[in-house]
This record gives sequence, C-alpha cells and structure tokens, in this order.
Amino acid sequence: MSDRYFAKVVHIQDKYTVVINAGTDRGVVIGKKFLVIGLGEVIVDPETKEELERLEVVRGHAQVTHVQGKIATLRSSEYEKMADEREIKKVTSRGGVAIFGMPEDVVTETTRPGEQRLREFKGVQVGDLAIAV
Amino acid sequence: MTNCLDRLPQHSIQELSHLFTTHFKFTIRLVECKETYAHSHRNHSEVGTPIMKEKIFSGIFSLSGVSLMLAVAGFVSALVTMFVDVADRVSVKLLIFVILLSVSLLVILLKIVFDLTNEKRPAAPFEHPIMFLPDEKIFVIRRNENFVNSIIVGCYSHQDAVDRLAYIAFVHHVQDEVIQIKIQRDLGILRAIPSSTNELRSLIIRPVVPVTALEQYTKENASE
Repeated sequence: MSDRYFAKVVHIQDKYTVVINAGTDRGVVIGKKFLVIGLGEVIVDPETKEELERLEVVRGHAQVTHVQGKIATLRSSEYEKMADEREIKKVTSRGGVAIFGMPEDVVTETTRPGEQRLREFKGVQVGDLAIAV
Repeated sequence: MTNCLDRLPQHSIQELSHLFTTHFKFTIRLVECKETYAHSHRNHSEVGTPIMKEKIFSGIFSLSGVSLMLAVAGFVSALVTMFVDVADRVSVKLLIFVILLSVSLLVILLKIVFDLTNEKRPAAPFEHPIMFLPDEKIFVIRRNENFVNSIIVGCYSHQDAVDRLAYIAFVHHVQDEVIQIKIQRDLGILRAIPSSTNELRSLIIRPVVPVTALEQYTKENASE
C-alpha cells in the first residue's frame, strides 16, 4: 500500500460505520480523522494520452470511535443539513375594525431550522482505502 | 584555421567533419529529448519549452546578441593576434577536444537555463477539465497549486472569445496528479454540462468567482 493510503476497509458495519485494518499497532487513536475513498477508473489526459492516476471516489469523512490492536472502527463525521422549513400564516380579520375601513391582516412567519443528519458513506465497499487527514 | 585544414590529409578532414556532425546531431537530439520530457510534464513545461526557445532566439537574434557576438569576436581576435601564431599547426585531437568541451559547456548551460525557467514559472491561473463525471457532477482537472482544497471556483464557458460564468463549483478532492471540482450551482448558461473532449476544451476553470455571482449565490442559499 502506498504512503498516501493509510489503511484498507475490511468490514462494513452499517451505512455510517466501517472497520479498517489498522489499530493501535499503527498508532491509531480515538478521534483520528480519515477520508474514506474508493479507487475508480484511470484518468487519461485526452491531449497527451498520458495515464495520470486512478480517480479517488470520495465515500466520506470519518472519525475513529473505537480502536483495537489491529483494527479500528470509523464512523462518518460529516453532517448534512436539511433545508429550513418556513411556515407563513396569514390571518385576515374583518371584524369590528373593518367598520372603520381598515381591514387587518396578520401575517405570521416562522422558520424552523432544518435538522442535521449524519451523512452516510456513499457506496462504501470492502477494499476501499482510508487516507489519514 | 583554413591553413591548418589545407595542410591536413583529406581523410582527416572527413573524419573531423564526421565527428563534428555526429556531435552536433547528438546535441540536437539531447535538446529534443528535453523537449519530449517537457511535453510529458505539461503543467510546467508544455508551455515552458516554446517560451524558453523564444527567449534563447530573442537573446541571440537581438541587438544585444549581435553586439555580444561582435565583442566576443573582437576579444578572441585580440587574444589570437597577441598570443597565438595563426600559421602554426593545430592537432586535430586538440581541436576536437576544444569543440567537445565548448559544446558540452553550452548544453550544460542550456540545461541550467531550462531548469531555472521551469522553477520560476508560477502555476497556470486556469485549467481545462480533462473529464466529467456525470453521476457526481464532478470535473477532473490536472493538479494545479492554485486550486486548494474546498475553495470556490468558477467554471467559465469560452465562446466567441467571451468568457461567461457557467457554473459555481468548489474543489472537492485533491489527488497527487488530478483535482476533482464539484459543481455547486448551475447558472443556466449552457444547455447541458460539457462532457466530450471538445466541449470540455471550451470550459475554463479558474479559482476566481466574480463578487456579484458570489453575492447572488449567497442570497439564493439563504432563501432556500
């Protein structure tokens, strides 16, 4: 494995959690950050026809949550924010005030911030690689 | 020199001429090799080699070049008149040695000039995408020091000598040789995202976005 790639994904626990083949034996500690990538096609320069390198498909950013001797558990550390919800309430009052020729409109606007969700690893597979960040 | 050559046997002159031609060809081949190498290392050198050639040619065929040549000719002739007997015989070996030494020195100096030209050239302020990944909406460009991770970049459509901002994007991932640029906002300038080699050539990615476009982008983001 090249210096760029620190470890390999050896197990996928769920959409947010993967296990890599490096643990305390290689200095992994809780909280250490990784970028999980998969290797894609070889990029060729269309002009020079030179083979540049294999495309790294980003699966997601992760953080170590548990370390063992030879393996470590990584959990996604990215969050995606859902869009804010806006609610506009318009109340038209045509009661007593309307007599004086002044109908009263009450507009209430409330914004509910969108919830934050943990981003899942996109298309992660066993054999993908982890780059230390 | 002419006198010396007259006194030399015919076969020696032929050998001398052959040796000189071979050495000259070798020098040219060396320069060609460098150019090929430079072409394969495009980012710094593809643009660099013609510029270097231009610099050398403009240096030689210029007023200062001509005056330098005159000065050197004067200097050499003065030295020869003072210290060298021009009627004397010259060893062919010595002549070849001097030619070899001077040509080698010239090539070494050219190499140093070439290396320095490459070292001092800053990275290009723009890149053409070499590939488009439609699933992720990612352009792949060559590695360029001006494109740092996570910065916002502008993708400009170059048509009829006019650049128009077509996409606002950001640096998604930096690899050893390539960089991935992810489209963040399509400004509706182009009907479809360029994907073929020719279409991609008409797209220029710069690490610069006009402030008006950024303001609009921020407003749209806030209203969403």
